[in-house]
Amino acid sequence: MDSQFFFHALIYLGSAVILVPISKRLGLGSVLGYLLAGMIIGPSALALIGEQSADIMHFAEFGVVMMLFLIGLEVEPQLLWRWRSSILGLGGLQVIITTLIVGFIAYKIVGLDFNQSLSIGLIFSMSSTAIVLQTMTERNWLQTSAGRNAFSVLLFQDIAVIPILALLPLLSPDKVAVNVHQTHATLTEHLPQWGKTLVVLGAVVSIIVGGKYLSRPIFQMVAATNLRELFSAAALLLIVAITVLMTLVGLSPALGAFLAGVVLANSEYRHELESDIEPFKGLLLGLFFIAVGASIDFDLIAKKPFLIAEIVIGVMLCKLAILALLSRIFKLRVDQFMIFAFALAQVGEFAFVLFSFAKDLYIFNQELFNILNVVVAASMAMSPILMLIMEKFLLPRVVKKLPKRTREHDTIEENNAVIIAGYGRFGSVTGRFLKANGIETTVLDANSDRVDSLRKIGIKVYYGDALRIDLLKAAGADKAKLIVIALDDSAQVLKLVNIVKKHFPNMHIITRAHGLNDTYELMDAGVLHVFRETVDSSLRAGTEALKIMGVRAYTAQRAHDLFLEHDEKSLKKMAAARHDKKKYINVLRKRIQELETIIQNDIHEKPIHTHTGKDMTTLRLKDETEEEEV
Amino acid sequence: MGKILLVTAHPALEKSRNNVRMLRVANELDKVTVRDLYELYPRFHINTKTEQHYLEESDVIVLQHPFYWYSTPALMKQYLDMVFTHGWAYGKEGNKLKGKIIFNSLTTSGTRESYHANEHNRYPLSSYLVPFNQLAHVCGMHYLPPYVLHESGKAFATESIRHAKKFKALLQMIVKDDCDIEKLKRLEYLNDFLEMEMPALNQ
Repeated sequence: MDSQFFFHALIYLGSAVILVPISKRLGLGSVLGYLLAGMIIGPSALALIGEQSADIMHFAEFGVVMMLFLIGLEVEPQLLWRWRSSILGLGGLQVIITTLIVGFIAYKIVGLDFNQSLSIGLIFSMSSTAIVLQTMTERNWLQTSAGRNAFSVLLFQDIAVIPILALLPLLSPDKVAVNVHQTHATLTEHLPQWGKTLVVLGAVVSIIVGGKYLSRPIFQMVAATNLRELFSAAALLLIVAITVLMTLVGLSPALGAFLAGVVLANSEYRHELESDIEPFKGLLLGLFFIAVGASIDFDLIAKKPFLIAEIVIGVMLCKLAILALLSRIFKLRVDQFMIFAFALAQVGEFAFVLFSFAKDLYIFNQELFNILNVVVAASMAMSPILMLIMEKFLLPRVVKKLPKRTREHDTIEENNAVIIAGYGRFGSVTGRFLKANGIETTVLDANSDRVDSLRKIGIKVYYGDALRIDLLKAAGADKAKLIVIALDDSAQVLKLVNIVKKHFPNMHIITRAHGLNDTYELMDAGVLHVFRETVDSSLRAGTEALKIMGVRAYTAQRAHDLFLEHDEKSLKKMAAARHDKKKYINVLRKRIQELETIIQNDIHEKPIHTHTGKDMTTLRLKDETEEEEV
Repeated sequence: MGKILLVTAHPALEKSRNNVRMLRVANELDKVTVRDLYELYPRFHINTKTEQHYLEESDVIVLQHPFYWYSTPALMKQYLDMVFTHGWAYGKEGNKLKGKIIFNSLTTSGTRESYHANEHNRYPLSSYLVPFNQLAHVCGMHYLPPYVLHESGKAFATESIRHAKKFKALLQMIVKDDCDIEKLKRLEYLNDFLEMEMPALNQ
């Protein structure tokens, strides 16, 4: 590997690691941090990286594909069907109206020719999936109605790219160029129209069928190897395969990945997939934003500042107005409509691809192309700033006016308040008990066979190693109220306790402990609810034994309760003394004696009657002697 | 009158002398069914259906218990709360106990005289039993005066055994339907009826 690669990696990673935390600290969000990093290291400023940022951008767009896959995992198929009106209606109208209005302005006011105007209209109607989804995820807005609608529009735009790619050659003034540049080398280019349609349908069906029936046995096999990195490889393979397949048939890879995500939304490997893809997605998206930042041509902006500012402001205002209008038609609440409109107001990354395609078709000359590219990049860079202004200044005003009780956000259905780690003999009983009481749990278990058999009987268990922070996050640990740790291995229990204490202090912890040593260690780790797995059942057995030996049931029950209470109290003293063997044995002996006295006094032979205060021993003796006489 | 259901609650029956003797004699009778609550439900998890079934099958219900704090032990209150439910025992369609007889059989360390305005316990015993009387009324049952053992702490074998014997006689009499309910209702204690009818038992 050449040193150039490492040098670039150093620049990219270094700039991100320095600037993103600063940006986040300032409340500007990560996207702006990445963009700033890109601008600073880009050719226009420090010029630490050269012109290759365009290539990197294309590569990093893979992050968008992953992002859509991840979103797909959160969307169950039924949900998608419920959103059809916002996808087709809202998304469709947004693309059409924006195309018409932007095209009209370009044609009538700017004075471009018809084909150029139409192309610009179409391309400017696209928004940036990467920026919108990243900023919304960061703010937890994806589950709100604004988030859902924005996502629907983005999804429609993803679909719309296909006909736009087909339409652009028809707008080319140079028919020769069309033939040369029909270079979106797809397998289907030589097929007749019906054949192409068939292949496309076939690809979609194969994703659905493959996702539904093939992925499980494959993931199962991979999981059985117990090699974590192999599972990551399989997850990546899935996405890459979809991307290749989609590119071959001329569909958007993001769309295909989204579809695959939806198909796998119900899979038991969902959380595992999520946590495997998440870091790659994050890195690639970061890279993507850096590349966008680096691609902003500041020289051009410096040369024509007013023209570019005019176009950027004009386009964004235009999109904003159309989105606002649409969200009123689709009856979004004021706060939601504001989020929705501001989020989608930029021009998206598709524009880079589409503009360069159009340039190759001689629709635009180099000069116009350069200007348009700067506009796109600038509008993307403006977008997080715009969101920030909206969030800090406009949103609080409208939210204040809203009646309080309507302010409820939709939540992800799988974000249960209770997480159960380990669904073996212990965890499963706790889980069933909670479920019977109407408390839904998110269950994580690392035993692949067990996950399978549990799923067969209809219990939703996710395969995964609960010690992984990302997996816990995917299971909703950030918002959960409680985690029940019932892993088989006591060392793992302790590890997980420490992870939860450090990363998810919001959760209460209930743990299972095997023996006394585990119990002490868990108590030392600060767990308040430690349950020794055998104590309760042993005591119940003892209680039953007492009954068989002639002790009355309630008395036996009280003895049981008393024993348990005393035992749990003495645990603390024993935990403190356990490192000194002599002391420990002394404490232990003393506690056992105490216990005997307490139970004897309290239950069996307490000499003083609770109510009359009489000495029961003499009383009983008198009664017995008298009975003998009678 | 027929079948008797003896519902008893004593948290430490093994330490009791009087309640144990009374239970022992009651168990000797065919027509008496005993529900020993603290033995059946040590964790207070009462099976409503089962207990309602026993009540439906009986004609006379005896609540046998020590008189803790002028009332029953906790589990018997729980029993009344869980079993004597709306729609079954009372309410528009609750008539399952209608016409049945119910009374308390209790043991107390206080003297009979102490349950008096000028004495230590300040009220007559019957006024402490008003909740049971009213429960019977709401459920359409006949509430009879209590069968009482006073000075239970001082009652040694002789008195204790005598009290149990009289209890057995009382239950037998009820089983044979050998008495006039209205006449019983007018008494202060059921004990008084036995004194009048069977003075021999006091020997």
